[in-house]
This record gives sequence, C-alpha cells and structure tokens, in this order.
Amino acid sequence: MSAVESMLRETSGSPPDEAHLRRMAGVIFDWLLLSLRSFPIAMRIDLWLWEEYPALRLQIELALGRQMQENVTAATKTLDGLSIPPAFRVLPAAYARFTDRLLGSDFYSIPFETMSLMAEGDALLAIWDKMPTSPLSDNELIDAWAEHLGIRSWYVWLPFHE
Amino acid sequence: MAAHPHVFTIPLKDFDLSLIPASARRIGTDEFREAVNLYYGTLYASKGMTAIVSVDEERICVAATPQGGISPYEFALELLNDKKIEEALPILELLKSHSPDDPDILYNLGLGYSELGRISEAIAELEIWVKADPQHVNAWVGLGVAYRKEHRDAEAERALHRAITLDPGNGWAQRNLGAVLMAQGKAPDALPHFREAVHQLPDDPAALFGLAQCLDAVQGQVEAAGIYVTLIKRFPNHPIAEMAREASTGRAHRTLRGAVDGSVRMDVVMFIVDALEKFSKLSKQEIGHIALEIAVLGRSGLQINDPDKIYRLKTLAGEYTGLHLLALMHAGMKLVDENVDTGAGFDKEFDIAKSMAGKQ
Repeated sequence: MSAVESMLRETSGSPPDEAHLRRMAGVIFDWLLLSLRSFPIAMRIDLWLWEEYPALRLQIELALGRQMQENVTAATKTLDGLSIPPAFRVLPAAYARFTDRLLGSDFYSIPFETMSLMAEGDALLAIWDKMPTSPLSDNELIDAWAEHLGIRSWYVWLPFHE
Repeated sequence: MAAHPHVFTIPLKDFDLSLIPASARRIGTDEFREAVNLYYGTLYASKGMTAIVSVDEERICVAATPQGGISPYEFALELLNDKKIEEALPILELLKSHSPDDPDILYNLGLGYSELGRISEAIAELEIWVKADPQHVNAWVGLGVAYRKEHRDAEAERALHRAITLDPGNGWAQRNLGAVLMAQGKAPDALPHFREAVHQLPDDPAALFGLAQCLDAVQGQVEAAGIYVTLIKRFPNHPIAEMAREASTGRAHRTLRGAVDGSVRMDVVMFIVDALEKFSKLSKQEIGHIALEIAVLGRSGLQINDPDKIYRLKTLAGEYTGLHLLALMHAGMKLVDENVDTGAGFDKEFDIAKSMAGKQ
C-alpha cells in the first residue's frame, strides 16, 4: 500500500490531501489486484468461448464492448486530482489489445495508445500468448504478469480448502 | 463492430504530445485543442467512425461512434435510464461543449446533476434552458425541484407555478408544487395541487402520500386515514408504505388521546381487563402467538377509530374491533415482557386494568 501511496504522490499534479490520498491508494490497490487476478484469466475464457461456441460470437462481442468501456472508464477515472498510476493502466491496455485482436476491431486500444501505454500492454499480451492455456497454469500466468509489473511480492497464494 | 459509442476520458497530463505537431504542444492553447481534435477525428475517421472531442483544463474526452451505431446522445440516455448517471454525465458534458444551447442536452445534464446532488450545477444548466426555451414544462419542473433541494422555496414555487401554467395537467409539476407549499406551511394552498397530482398520477405512491399528509395537516380529515390504508395495501413493499404505517399509527394515537384530552381511555381499560381474563388461561407462548398475529395484522393498518370494522383472529376466538385488538396486543406483549414498548401508548390503561383485575 505504501508503494501505491508513493506513486500517487509522484504522479499527482499538486500536493494532495493526505487522507484522500490514503483512501485512493486503498481503492487503487484493490482495483489492481482484482484486475491482475481477473483480466488474464478472463481473456482465456473469452478466447475459449470465441473458438468453441461461434454461435455466441455476437453476444461475446457485445459483452467485450461493455467490458472495454468499463475498463477504460475505471482506469482513467480521476478523483480530486488523483488517478490510477499509468504503470498500472497497462493491465486494461493489454486486455484492449487482446480484444481488438480477437474481434478484428482496431479501436479499443486507442485510449491506451494515446497515453503511450501500448508498448507495455503488448508486452503483457506477449507473456499471455506464451503461457500454456490449461487452467492449471492460471496462477503461473498471474505471477508472470505480476513479475513484469514488479508487484509479485504484493500478494501470496492461499491453498483452497475442502 | 460494437453498436455503442466508445467513450473515454484521459487526464490531459497523460496524453502523448508526440502525437500532435510540435507547434501545437502548448497545453491550454487553441492550437493544442484543435490539434487534439484533429488527431482523434482523423484517427477514428480512418476506421470508419465519427469522433466528438472536448478538451478542457484537465482532461480530454472522446466519444467515437461506429457507422450504424447509436449516437453518443442516445447512449447517454440509455445510461441515464439505467441509473448509470456518473457514466452518462461526461458524455453529456462532451456533447454540451459542442452544442451549448441544445435544450435536450441541457435538460438531461441538469437532471443528472440533480440526481447526483450537484444541485448548483443542475440549477445553472436548467436556468440556461428555461431562458433558451421558456415554454418547456419539464425544464421548469426540473428547476423547481432543484431549487427545492437547495431550500430556495420561493424560487421553487415560482418555477413550478410556471410549469403548471404551461401545462395544468402535468402531475409531476402539481405534486412538486404541493410539496413546496407544504414545506412552507401552506397546506390549504397545497391541497388542490395534490388532488390534481393524484388525478393525473393515480398510481404514484408519492402523490398519494403527499395528499394524505396534506389532508392530515388541514385539520385531520378522515380521508387521509383511508389513503394511508390504500397506500399500505397497494404498495406494501414500497418505502412509502412504511411511512404511511407510521403516519397512520401516529394519527390514530393523536385521535385516541385527543378524544379524551390525553387522559385515560376507559374503553381501552375494559378491553385490557378482558384480555387479562382471556390470557390468564394461556401460556406465555400462546399469548405471544396471539400478540404476534395482531402485530402482523397491524402491518396492513388496523382501523382503530372505526368501531364498525370487525376483525377475527386465527389464534383467538371471537370478533374484535381494531381498538380492542390493539389493547389485546398491548396486554399480551406486556405479559410476555413487562418492559416492552408496544408503541400503542396504553401503559396507563394497562396498569389500571391490572389493578382492577387484582393482578398487581
């Protein structure tokens, strides 16, 4: 959390209110870990559905369109001068590039291109492409993204309980 | 291709300046704004899409519509209808930057701000609109509601009067004017407006409740009691039904106490004596079941001031008036737990009944 607070202090335009900064750091921390855990796995599921159930492609396209809209809105939201640090916006950037590739569209990644984030977004997608597609590799995929972002030490895995 | 526009806002400081000519990279200048507009417009046009762009001191907002897709305005309306107001507002603000006098944009922007509690912004937009289109009823209604939220009641009254002058059959205007007048203690003036509101909006619980409250304030007419019961029966799960129950109970208590100037009700005393007699043969559990059944019945509104209305219980034989049931419930709950507050206000009567029944 203190790392997120430091990043917010560096990236905010003017000295922020400390209480607001700590609150935002908490919100961003939660968003980051949730996105890290969800996006790469969701991309696997999207691809699997697209390939295995062509009859659902229209629904998948609409659902991905909504997801992309939510992702970019969340990633660029500003509250009293504080927003998600650009280093973390590469997660939705990777998902946007994946979506453009899957749907044959070419505009979901535009917001991130104009924020100079696509080079890193593409790097995450390249990691995703190289991973085995089995669900048994889910944790390995998430760890690989976390390593690339420099946040692998921010979480630990807990075993499932029966 | 997606049917919805693709809408996003990016902080100005995060925009990649290398995407525009060097001569236009000074943020805040007209050259910068034009260059950003041109950049996105050209980029999206190359993909067969139409882009609307706005640039202010802090952010760039873009709404890009695919060919054959719904317009950003229609998308904003969808979001408003889905109560996604925070998502709709940036789109409306973007559209307003391109069409500052468009009444529909101003109206929806004003309503959106009002819903989010940004009242002064709502008033600003709606005031522009009524100047641009003084015949638009909904703008006057929206403005009246916004003034009311800021406790500017005199201005609210004027705006809503203007609305009903333009359209006397507008139930929303009538209802809101009634509420503004009530807030100023002008219940007799409010009454015809609430009546018209209910006539125009017979299924609107807020209009019905407003009318009942107004009738209550105008020397406690019986009609109010009937409306409370109607509200509870027709809209049992609506928050207004709970308000109607509370109002109905409060009204009944005022009537109860008012009937004998706040002193003891001997009819209630006798009902409780009867209850103590009946309950002396029952266990606490059985008494509790009876009290609970009456309490549940009371959720639909017991008519305690109507001696002709008769009730029957599953847990206790006999026929009872509403007041008798309330006395039974009070006695039963007190026997189960002497410290309970039943809300009926019959503690004095209960003590007297107990001493009469020799139970003290």
